[in-house]
Amino acid sequence: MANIAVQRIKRELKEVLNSDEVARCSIHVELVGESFAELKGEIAGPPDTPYEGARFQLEIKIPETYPFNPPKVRFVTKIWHPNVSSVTGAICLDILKHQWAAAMTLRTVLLSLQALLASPEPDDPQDAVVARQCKDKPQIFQLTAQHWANAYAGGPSVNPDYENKIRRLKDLGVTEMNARASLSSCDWDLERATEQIFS
Amino acid sequence: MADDIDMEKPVEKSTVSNDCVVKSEKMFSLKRWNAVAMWSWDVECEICAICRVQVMDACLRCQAENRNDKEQEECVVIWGECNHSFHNCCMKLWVKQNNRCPLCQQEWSVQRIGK
Repeated sequence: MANIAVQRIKRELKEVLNSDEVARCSIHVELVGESFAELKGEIAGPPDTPYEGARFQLEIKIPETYPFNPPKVRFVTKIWHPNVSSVTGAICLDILKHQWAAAMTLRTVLLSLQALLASPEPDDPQDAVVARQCKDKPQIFQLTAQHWANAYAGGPSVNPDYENKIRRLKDLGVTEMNARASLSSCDWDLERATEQIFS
Repeated sequence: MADDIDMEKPVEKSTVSNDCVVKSEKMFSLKRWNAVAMWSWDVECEICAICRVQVMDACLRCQAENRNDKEQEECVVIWGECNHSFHNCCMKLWVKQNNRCPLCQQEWSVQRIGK
């Protein structure tokens, strides 16, 4: 890996570890292995959002050409958000693509992702199904995002109605993950979800 | 930066009584003084935002390639019209793919080059 990339990452790790956000347990980053090519990030769900109280793991891959090209970041923890793929965790965020600047750091990237959780952009989606729900049925979107945060990211909110519908699909031999994904994309309409799975 | 100074006219304690001045022993004499100055580079941002090294030092690449002092001196600072400064080596690589200032995203145009 290029020396400038390694040295930059070393400096940035120090910057993150000394930041106020780490002290508040808002963000965290650590190395995976010893090559400086891959890191593991973590962000806390922002307050007053459906993600509050949850913690999301991120995979950060540093290219050879860093900092002249952006790091490749994706959510490892499943999340229901219009700008994040509910299947792969791929992120649609301008600063990770064409709006990247060499002055940006791991800290600014993690804080930008936190800001993205607080203010979704359904008009520039990564996941069209989630974006449609976010625009057309915001209440259901809020509850679904909250439910996913609880199920996958240790969020505090439990929805007994949603849990019950998942259980009913599980009784039909559907895996919990598939049941949740199907119900979420069908706005928690059990009949439509069943039809979608078995058609 | 310490200098020893003997005062030519040491300050003396004077007392006044019945319209006449009586000179007595001096109160103090300045033996030595230390001047302390604070300085910084005359740039808006002291650290190159691309490599995170002081702009007045050689950039990360020049340091890593173990160049000698003379070659490292050639790693100069470049100022944009926006008044942001970077290492010229760093900026050359950045403008190849994006002709905007990495800090303010303004169109990049060079104001001056050199330390």
